[in-house]
Amino acid sequence: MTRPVGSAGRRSAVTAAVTVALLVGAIASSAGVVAAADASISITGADGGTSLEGTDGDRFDLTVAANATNVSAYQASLAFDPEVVEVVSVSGTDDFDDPVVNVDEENGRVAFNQYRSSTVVDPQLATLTVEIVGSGGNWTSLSFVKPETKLSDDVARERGIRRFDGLTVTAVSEAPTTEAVAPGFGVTTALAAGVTLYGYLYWRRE
Amino acid sequence: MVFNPDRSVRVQVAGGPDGSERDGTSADASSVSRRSFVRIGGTAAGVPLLAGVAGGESDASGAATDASDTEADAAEQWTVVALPDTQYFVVNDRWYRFVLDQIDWIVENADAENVVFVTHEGDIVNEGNEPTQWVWMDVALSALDGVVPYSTLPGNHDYAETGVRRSGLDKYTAYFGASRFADYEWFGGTGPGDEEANSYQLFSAGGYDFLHLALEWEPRDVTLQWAQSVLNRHPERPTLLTTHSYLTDGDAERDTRGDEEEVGELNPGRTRYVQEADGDGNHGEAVWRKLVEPNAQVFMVLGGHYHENDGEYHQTSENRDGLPVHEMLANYQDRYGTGFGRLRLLTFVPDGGEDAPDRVQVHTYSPHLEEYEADDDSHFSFDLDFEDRFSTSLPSRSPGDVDDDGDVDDDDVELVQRHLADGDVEIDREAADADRDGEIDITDVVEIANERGSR
Repeated sequence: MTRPVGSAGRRSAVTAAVTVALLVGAIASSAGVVAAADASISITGADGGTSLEGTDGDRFDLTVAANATNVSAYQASLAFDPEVVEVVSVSGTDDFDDPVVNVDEENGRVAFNQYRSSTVVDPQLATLTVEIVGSGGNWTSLSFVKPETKLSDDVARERGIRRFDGLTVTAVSEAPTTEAVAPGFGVTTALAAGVTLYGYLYWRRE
Repeated sequence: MVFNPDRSVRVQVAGGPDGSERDGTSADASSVSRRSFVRIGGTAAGVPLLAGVAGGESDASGAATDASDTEADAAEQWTVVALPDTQYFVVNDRWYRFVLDQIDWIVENADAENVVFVTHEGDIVNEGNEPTQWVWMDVALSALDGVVPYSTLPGNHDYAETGVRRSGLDKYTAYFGASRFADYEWFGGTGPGDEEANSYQLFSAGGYDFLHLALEWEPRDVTLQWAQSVLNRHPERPTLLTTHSYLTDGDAERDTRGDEEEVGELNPGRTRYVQEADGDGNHGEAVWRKLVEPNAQVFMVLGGHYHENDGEYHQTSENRDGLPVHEMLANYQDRYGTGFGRLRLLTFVPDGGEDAPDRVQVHTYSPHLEEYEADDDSHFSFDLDFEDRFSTSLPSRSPGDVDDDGDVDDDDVELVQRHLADGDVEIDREAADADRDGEIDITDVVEIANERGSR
């Protein structure tokens, strides 16, 4: 999942530990939740994984989905470390149109919501595109803010959410390399050139 | 082409005792009375027997009397009659007498009872594609023409194929569509669009001007939107709503049709399931949430259809504005003798209340048996303040008007969505909390989206 390194030199990537976070929420208990709390909501990578790693500038598409029946609307809020990832965009899916979004980069929150006129089963709610901005070794979870993450049916009854499954993004560090003017023209070459020059000058003196 | 009856020959239709030949197209020229129409003898309806009426005293007209009746000024009280499912009354001529007795009683007691409106709760006929049954009901209900304002609405049996909306309402429309009522001043119209399944009526009583909505079985969203538009045009009128399926006396959470198991514990209330074959419609709870609860002017909901227990149930709910809404189920078709034509009398008694100034008395009466039913589900009353409940200056009916521009529309929905995404977006929290649960969340977005078009 790492971005290809540039041709200007080899970047010595330092592999960071991959942390898998499965953030399991508690049973929703807010008033007015009339349906059984049998639903779940998750955010996953393109391959369905719950952990990602990459280097500065890498972008990932993440899918927010609900495992629930009779879903007509949702609101979701995710918390993250803005020193590690940046939310580039939040877009709609086949199930829900583009949501109303607000990204609070300063506090590391992204909130979005949308509704539809009919109900749907196990919908994909939204697609988030995030970019890694952190230095190697840092990581962040994207975890649902439970009080601000809800599902509703088409008659405005809240669907209880039993599980909130987030994911973890880890920044893979890229240690800076000594910049060379051209390939193969490094310290060794300079040293060799110096020795050669010294030998030449010594020979001319004689 | 659906048979389009000439109303002038309706009572000239003749046929065999089983009704097999009673198609409007076979009408002959011999004019017969409504009873000879089905060759029913016996005691004429409309001449109530007065002795031994169960459930209370009865005066010479067969009208119920009780303490509050006598205390109130009889001249000022008025009655709305609800006709539960009549479908079985047209399957044979023995039972047909029950609906004739019902209608004749209404006609003959219209003045004494001050009957101001009659609402049929749907399932007019048993088989919607059977012409004879429509002719019979046409004949029966025609006695109300010019006597009292009345309404009909389609129940699930009134569609060409029972319970299948897409099978159409050609015969219902032919007999009970807009053309039947168009000449009456009290007739408001039909809808949505060119459809004639839903209608509204305007009538007055006790110094108040009322609106009545007659909505199809399990009304569709487009129907509820149409009904909302009618309410919007008549915001000053206290409103009664009749729809075929709304409350059940069985299990509100589970459709028990075809369930061979013994009926479990009853869980009556507004239904939470749709029975229409394609799922095309709204159950009772959705009708409540989308139409009744948000509109403070709706004070009463009547329905039939269900007969899981005894065909009766009533409850009082609180709408968005904290005002009571009285909801009633009555359907006696599954009783012995198909219920002997029991009907509901809703008598509004000014100054007849105890807990509040006024009272609505509910009686269940069989004109055929000349007998009242006296149990708690059949004979009850509720007190309310007519002046307050029917007031023209009702509290705000539109908590979803977040931008305070006088209506509920997409702008209000979007405003709440923006607030949910960004708490810094300021809104009128009271207006945004459309479901009145004390917090603003996505359920309010749905609630307001469902209310779009309301004032």
